[in-house]
Amino acid sequence: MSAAAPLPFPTNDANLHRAAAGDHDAFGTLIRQHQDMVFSIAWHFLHDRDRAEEVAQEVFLQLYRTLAEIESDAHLTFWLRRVTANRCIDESRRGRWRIVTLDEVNDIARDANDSDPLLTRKVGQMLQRLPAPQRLAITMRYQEGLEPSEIGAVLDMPLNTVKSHLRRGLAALREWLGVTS
Amino acid sequence: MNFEDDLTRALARKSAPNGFADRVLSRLDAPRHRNFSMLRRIAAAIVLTAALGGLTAHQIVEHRRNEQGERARRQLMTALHIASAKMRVAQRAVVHD
Repeated sequence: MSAAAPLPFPTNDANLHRAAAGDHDAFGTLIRQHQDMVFSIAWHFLHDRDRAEEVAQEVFLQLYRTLAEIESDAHLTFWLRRVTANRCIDESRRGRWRIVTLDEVNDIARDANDSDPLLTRKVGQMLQRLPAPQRLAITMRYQEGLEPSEIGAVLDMPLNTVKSHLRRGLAALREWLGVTS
Repeated sequence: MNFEDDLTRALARKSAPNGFADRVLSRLDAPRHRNFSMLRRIAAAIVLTAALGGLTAHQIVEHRRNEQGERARRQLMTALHIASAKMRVAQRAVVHD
């Protein structure tokens, strides 16, 4: 496995072992440490808050059943990214669509991380037009800050395929967003 | 401004909804949620079973109807044979007289 991106929390393998032993408090701590990453991958892929939460919940429930196989905090991060990506693809194949309410749009725009809500919305909308592999590659690159080789490991793709998805995805986004440089 | 920097900002991690972890934890001990695909499979199995059952029942009814028809045909033929024999006896009696 290639090295994962730096973790936003200190490595805590002991907590992982406690969770694997059935300690719900320890598992709750694990969820809180990784929930933003998992939810954000699903959110950027699906662009739907409810479906993103549903996918993220299913990922953590699957994690709970698989905890004994997780060897370290780095392995956990890798596993969560991979399973979230796979579940996002499964969810998108179901093809459920719904109308986003005005409240939700305002909610999205109020997100504290957004320096430019308009750009965020436009990028989010344009991202949905990309094929799933390009969307995931771009999300892993720009949300998680992964190198192409790391993206290949997470998405189980050859390096050249990842580079191709990134190149084509960026070109399409540039064109749709009217970016000339 | 650099497009890739814009993308990094636009695709920054978002906060999970409030109470997310608690909602996951509350589902740990709950009975496994049967998703829609499982329900779809069960519904398909029921429909298939009903269709096969209906087809079998239809074939049984058809078979019985055929048997009844065959029996009626045989009875009719027997009746005709008897009637024909009687006619021949009567004919012979008339010719003999």
